[in-house]
Amino acid sequence: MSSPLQAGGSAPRSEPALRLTLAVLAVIGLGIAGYLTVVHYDGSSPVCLAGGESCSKVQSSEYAELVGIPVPLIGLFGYLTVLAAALLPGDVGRFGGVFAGLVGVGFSAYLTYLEIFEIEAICQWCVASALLMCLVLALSLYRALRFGGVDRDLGASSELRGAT
Amino acid sequence: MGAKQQFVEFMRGRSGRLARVGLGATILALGLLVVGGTGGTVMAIFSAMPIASGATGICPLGPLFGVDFRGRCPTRSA
Repeated sequence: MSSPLQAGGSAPRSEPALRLTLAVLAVIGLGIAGYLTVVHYDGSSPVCLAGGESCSKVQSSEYAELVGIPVPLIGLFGYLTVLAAALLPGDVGRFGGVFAGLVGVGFSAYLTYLEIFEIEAICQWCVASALLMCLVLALSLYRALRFGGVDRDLGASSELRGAT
Repeated sequence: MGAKQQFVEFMRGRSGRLARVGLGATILALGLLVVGGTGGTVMAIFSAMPIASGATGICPLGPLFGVDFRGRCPTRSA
């Protein structure tokens, strides 16, 4: 499969590939957020692949919940929104992806700030999720700017073809 | 040209898109720096709406003004 970023002139054919990439990223994010949600309700410590207690420290901090809602659960909802936007065709899906990406990156930036300056511990799961959200925003913006209005153009061109 | 149509024309153009991003940035700054708390968080989340709208040229409120999500024609013609 060719990279969606190398779309060139084959715009209509490569948007599905871009949407598939976004859906895969959303599923990976759902895996991360889902794991952290299970760990949160289970009361156990998340596995920190790099070793150390940083993940447990972040997970058990006072910032692990926002207005009573576990942060991983908010992430789960965010990635579900990204997945829904990736599956939705047209401008609704494109706008939804950019909106979810913007909120996700903003929220991830806030959480990273808390990790560095308040909790003073870095959770690798949170870093992975933040990077994932940055990628989601970049691809969603590309999707909206590159393919925005393509449906209308296609409709118009097919109408023209039908008329000739 | 009616006032509503003039408004749609303005919003569809480059200045309108910049205005949407500016409005979103203002709501974001007000929410985070002035209001704060849960209300500020809600404002910050809401601010992503006009920012995304201005950045992409897709407006979810378009149908309310009798046009589609991109105004009458795609932004690439702007």
